[in-house]
Amino acid sequence: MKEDPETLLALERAKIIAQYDQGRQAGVPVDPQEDPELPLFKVTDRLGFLHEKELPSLTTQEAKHKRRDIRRADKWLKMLRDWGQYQGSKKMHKRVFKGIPPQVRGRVWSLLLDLEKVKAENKGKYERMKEQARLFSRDIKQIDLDVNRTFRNHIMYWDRYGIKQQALFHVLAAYSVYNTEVGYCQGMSEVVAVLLMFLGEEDAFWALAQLMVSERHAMHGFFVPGFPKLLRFQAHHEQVLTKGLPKLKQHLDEEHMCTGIYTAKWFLQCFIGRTPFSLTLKLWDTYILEGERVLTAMAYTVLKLHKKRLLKLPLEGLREFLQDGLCQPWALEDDAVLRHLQASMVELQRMKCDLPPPAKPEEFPTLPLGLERASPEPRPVLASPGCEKLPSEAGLTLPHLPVEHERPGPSPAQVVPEAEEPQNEGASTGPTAAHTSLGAPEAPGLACLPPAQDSSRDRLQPQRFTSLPNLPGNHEAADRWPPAVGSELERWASLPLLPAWATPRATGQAQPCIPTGVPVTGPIQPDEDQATGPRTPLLPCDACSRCPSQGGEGHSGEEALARPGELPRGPDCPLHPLTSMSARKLEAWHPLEGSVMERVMALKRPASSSSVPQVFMLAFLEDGAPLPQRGLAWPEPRSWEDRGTMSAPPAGMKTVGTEPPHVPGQSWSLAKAGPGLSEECVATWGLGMPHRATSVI
Amino acid sequence: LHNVFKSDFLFKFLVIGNAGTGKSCLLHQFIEKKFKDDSNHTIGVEFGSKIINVGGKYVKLQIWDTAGQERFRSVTRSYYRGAAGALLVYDITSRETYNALTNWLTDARMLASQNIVIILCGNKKDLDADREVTFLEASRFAQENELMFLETSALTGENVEEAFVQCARKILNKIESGELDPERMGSGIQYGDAALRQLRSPRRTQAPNAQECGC
Repeated sequence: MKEDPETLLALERAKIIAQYDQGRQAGVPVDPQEDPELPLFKVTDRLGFLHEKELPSLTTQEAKHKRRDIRRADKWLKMLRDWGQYQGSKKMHKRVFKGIPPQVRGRVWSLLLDLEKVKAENKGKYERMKEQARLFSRDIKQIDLDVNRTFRNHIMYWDRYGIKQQALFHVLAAYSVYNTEVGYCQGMSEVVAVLLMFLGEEDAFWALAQLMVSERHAMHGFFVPGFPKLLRFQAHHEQVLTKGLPKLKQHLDEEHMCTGIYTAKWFLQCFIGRTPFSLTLKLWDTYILEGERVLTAMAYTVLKLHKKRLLKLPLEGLREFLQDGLCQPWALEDDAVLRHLQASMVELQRMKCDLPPPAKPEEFPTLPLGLERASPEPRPVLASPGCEKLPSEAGLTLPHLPVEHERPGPSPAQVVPEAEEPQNEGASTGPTAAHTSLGAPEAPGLACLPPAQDSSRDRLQPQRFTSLPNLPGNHEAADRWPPAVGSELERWASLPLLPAWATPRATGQAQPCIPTGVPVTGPIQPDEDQATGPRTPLLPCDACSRCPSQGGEGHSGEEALARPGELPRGPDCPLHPLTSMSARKLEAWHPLEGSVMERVMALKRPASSSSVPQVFMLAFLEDGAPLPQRGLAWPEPRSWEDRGTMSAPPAGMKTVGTEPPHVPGQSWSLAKAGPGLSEECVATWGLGMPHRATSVI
Repeated sequence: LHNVFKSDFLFKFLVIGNAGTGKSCLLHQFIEKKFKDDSNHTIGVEFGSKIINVGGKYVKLQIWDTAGQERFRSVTRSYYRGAAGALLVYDITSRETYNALTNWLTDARMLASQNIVIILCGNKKDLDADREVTFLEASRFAQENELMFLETSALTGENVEEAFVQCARKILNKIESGELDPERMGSGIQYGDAALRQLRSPRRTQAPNAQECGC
């Protein structure tokens, strides 16, 4: 039955007005994420970390700090307006050492690291590296393992395969092929995760790239195999202790607590997970500004500030304190710690040991960065028998296509042919059609090569991502339904990167192959894959890090054999509810990705870059209590059944807790002495002291 | 409260194996009796300790948990020295982690104490549906290499304590049978707290070698 549009309008109007007349108190239903009583709001702290229990309301002290932060943000905004004048000034320097307010942190980091310039010099590079990663990265598996356990207690990363996890994965994967000497090293995931809290995906990539090679950070040496820079800094740290804190040094030596045990995370990650997170961020501010001197000075400062306490501790206590205790709130406020840090920097400089001896060449990249491997040669058009079955036909489509579309319009299934047709012109029909329709390399956010020439749109780019939905190939197409296709696009484009054929189901099925009868120019399967089976990041022996050619010690012959069981496992679990939601709902669900829409807008305004602002952090800063309008609901419990995802929402959410805040990077021996800790444990750990025992200055 | 338990011995233990097999979770489960669902990956080494009662004797385990990524081996190896026991961990749902065992084993045998007692742990037992390594296969491997063997689950806690306790028990047996001499340098074994205090005062005269980390 078709209603008259006028009537529909009137009905809708009446309904909305009635809701306002009635009011919330009278029981107008609201979405969970619109409910300020949503439990998630109450367990998320200002930094975005999720806690087991409801957080207490702000103390007067905290409220004061919040007001102070807002005042600081104002000053920074003024300074940013006139950056040219303030850049490198004493005032700016002084202000960084008070911590950059979260509202402007991303902007300032990007200025300090000169991201705009690098980005301008490397237009399109990131997207190309992402594409290269899909084809050639050898670290995908390790990255996947680590993304799954990076800041999972943070609202940005708690959602498996959520938007920020996708970004984290993409940046790390792209970097692993951008800098092949470093590839991916454990520890980098947290660094990038912190960058991504304040920067957009591409900015985070270039920030990482800058941190690795810039003169003052040169983190390349920290992560490259052999860790030459780490060893150099650790040796230097010992010397600093001998000079500056001889008594403590003697005590540590006697207890056999050597620097190697506790400084790895200090130096590799600039104290991520080894200091309270609010302090970590401020240390990162200074690190980005000052560079490696901060590491030396902060290592010294940490021990100096806690000297008295450390002197009393036996090995077990030292371990407990240096490994876990340090991420509990310190007795000193962050600002005071930073003042101490500054003082230490001056002190060390006076002692002429603010920096270790100069680096050896091994700490710097020897191979050019960002080399792109050529796509395999265009193949002659051949009919390849055994290749007729495409992966997509072998049941390797994405588990869920968006089913829930709130907007009017045809369902995706109906849209597909429409979007597909223009691209299919001239393509051979038959089994390859579905395959080739996916070219869409110009689709923003799709990690494909950008159009090389104008004619490239006419060429058919066989893609391996056969399970992606068919999407309009360019921005103009976004005028058609769905109107906000950009956001849909982005989501699809950034789905987990494991190619469908790498899932267990793909084993023994048809190999990915070049569609027959199609002239090929784009990125395709490397040649050798035709011979050796589906290419995975790990299988070919020469690709494994243990291979002598890679500097490893080699492995037994049987290991070198590609076994089906070794294939990386694709996301064969049901997708998270978020992935099957409309963009608008997604946006509503994901407060931190309020930027989804902004990204869409940015796509339509190609000129403006770096348009993924710090909306999220702002939201947390505005008020300790989270924003009522937007939020994130706990998804259906079934999604927690998958291994590796976070556990169900903590049961104790309702009660107001007095527990100290849960701190990132807390590792296994933390959180003792709370209830629920066996007496034995307390005894074992010698934790008679209250949990909140603060550090002694 | 600190020394309610006076330990008779202190054993240095290692937890080794590929990345993502659940080494830190095993340790966390052992010490806290809880599964750590937001576990981080380990950078370098971390360690924890716990006192357990094995056949009437209190043994303090000092457990060194290592990073699994290949690249970190150069760093973690230096902590192997003088370990009395080791948990060699693989993931039953990942053949790759199983295939890597030989390498880890060689490392442990070469760098820790000669008589190191190793228990093979097939972790993630709860994920039986995704199993890629059968119990039989792994137990054969264990037999061939003179390892103890258990399948564990850091998630449910199944066999976790047992793994540590069995390993400790075997070491104790070896001490009792005279096969192991705690006095020998690099045995990875020390006498417990009380004895230790005597040894240490006034200044450590006898280097408690087990704790040396080689740096």
